[in-house]
Amino acid sequence: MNIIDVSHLTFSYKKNNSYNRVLTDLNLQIKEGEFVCIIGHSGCGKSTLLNILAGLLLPDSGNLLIEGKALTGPGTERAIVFQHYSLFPWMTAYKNVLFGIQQARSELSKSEAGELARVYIRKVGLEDNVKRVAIARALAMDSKILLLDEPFSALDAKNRNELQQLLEYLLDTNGNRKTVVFVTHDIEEAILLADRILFMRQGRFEAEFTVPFSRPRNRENTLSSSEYKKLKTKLIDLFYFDSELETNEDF
Amino acid sequence: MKIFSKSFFIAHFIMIVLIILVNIPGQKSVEDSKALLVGIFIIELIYLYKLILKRKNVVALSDIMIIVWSILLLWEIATTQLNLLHPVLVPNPEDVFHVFASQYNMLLLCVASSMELLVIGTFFGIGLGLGLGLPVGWIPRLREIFYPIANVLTPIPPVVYAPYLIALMPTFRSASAVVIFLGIFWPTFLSIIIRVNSIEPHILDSAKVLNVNNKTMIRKILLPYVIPSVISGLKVTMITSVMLLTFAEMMGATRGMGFYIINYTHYANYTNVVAGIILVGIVVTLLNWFINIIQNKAIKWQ
Repeated sequence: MNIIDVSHLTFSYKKNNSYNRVLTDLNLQIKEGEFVCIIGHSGCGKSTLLNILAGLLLPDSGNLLIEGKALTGPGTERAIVFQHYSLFPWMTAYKNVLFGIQQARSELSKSEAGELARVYIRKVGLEDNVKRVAIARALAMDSKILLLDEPFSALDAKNRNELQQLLEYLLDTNGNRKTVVFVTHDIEEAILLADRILFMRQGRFEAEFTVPFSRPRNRENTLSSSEYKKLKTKLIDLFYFDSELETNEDF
Repeated sequence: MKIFSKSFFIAHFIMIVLIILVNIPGQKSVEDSKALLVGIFIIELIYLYKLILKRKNVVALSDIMIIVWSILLLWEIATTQLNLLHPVLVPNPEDVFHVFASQYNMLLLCVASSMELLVIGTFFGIGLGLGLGLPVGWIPRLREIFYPIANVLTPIPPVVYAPYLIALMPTFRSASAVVIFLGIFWPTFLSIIIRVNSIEPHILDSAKVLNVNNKTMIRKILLPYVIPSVISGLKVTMITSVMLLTFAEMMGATRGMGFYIINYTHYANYTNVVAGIILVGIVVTLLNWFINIIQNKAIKWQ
């Protein structure tokens, strides 16, 4: 069964009686444990789609099922990391993670939740890095679905690489992988992390690619492989040239 | 920064002239001028403390002292030496400072009484303004009811209903506390509603995706979100409180700083009136200093 099932989704931003159509008749099926990257230029609607999946925006029309149930609003079975923010600035790193755990897992006692918060902060390393703490919180919430909106785009190359590796490692540790929807405009990042890459243009999925590498992935081996180079060339062509390209799957 | 600037020497030169003038005979009604000398000594001590231990804006500090000593000196010369001003309307500094020494106990009682009302009124004003403003700002239905009401009631200056409240309330003190309370409550309530309503979208989204309920939202998200604005508004709040307090005390109290001033005004004893005004100045300065400490603590926490 698909854990995320989106069909015929349409969304417009309304402003003073004028409608700005952002997503048009969108279909998206994601299997449990799948890592899907959505890439596209800014303004193509990829962040809007993520906000709809998070329950922050309501679609104009279409069906949206999470684990078979219609989506009505935000829920802790979906943890989200936003591009620039996520944490509450008045809380410490520890309190932020703890707050997420308490919201998502009310069955845990205060000391259990505290212990878990410490464990995840240790896992991500530096607690003065807001991105790492945001990821620690999202993972500690033990949600089935992770929604990540360009989480690494504001970082320098070194931190970005480290966090990509960390995400790969953390997602793989406990047997059953989480389902991830990852929005990015970084082609290299998409190929490194995803099982499937969807290219979005003007509110529609224009192309779909399956990433062939096995997990856990090694950064250097992946980057130097010929499949990586082929995939990257195709994506760059899509990204920077308006040419029609055949994809490796019918779409 | 240079401590011993030109301003430093000019300030001390004026101070020495002032001390000499205080010690030579003139138009003074009190026997000794010890109180004024002690006052000068205390001002000098504060000045030296800021100059040597704080070392911030040392030249400007000395310039300020030139102005302070010059005003005292002009006051001293005009009243005790040249007799330029009406002795009843403009008392000399020796007499004014003597009030602090002779009415020490009474002045302290007045300050204590005023502070009690000020703290009670301000505490409940801010407390209820926050406690009610947060849920009203957050829950749309409550906001739609109470925001228009607050908009109508907030701009009414509390001083216009102070006389009526004094007639209405059982004791004068309760009336004063209510005047301060209302003067603080409505602006706090209104500003909290507006602040909650204009919460940054990303904070709101971050909270929404964690599926927080209303209670958690108000206690864990909105309260810490609005607290800095309450703390940064404390100075204005304090000025409003003192204004309302002294005004209310002038209307029929038997204690407090406002009472002290209006009481001696009725007897045309302007020496005590001027002393009372200086006292209010000192109290407000101390309150300001206290608020600064709170604000600095809060900035560290942010």
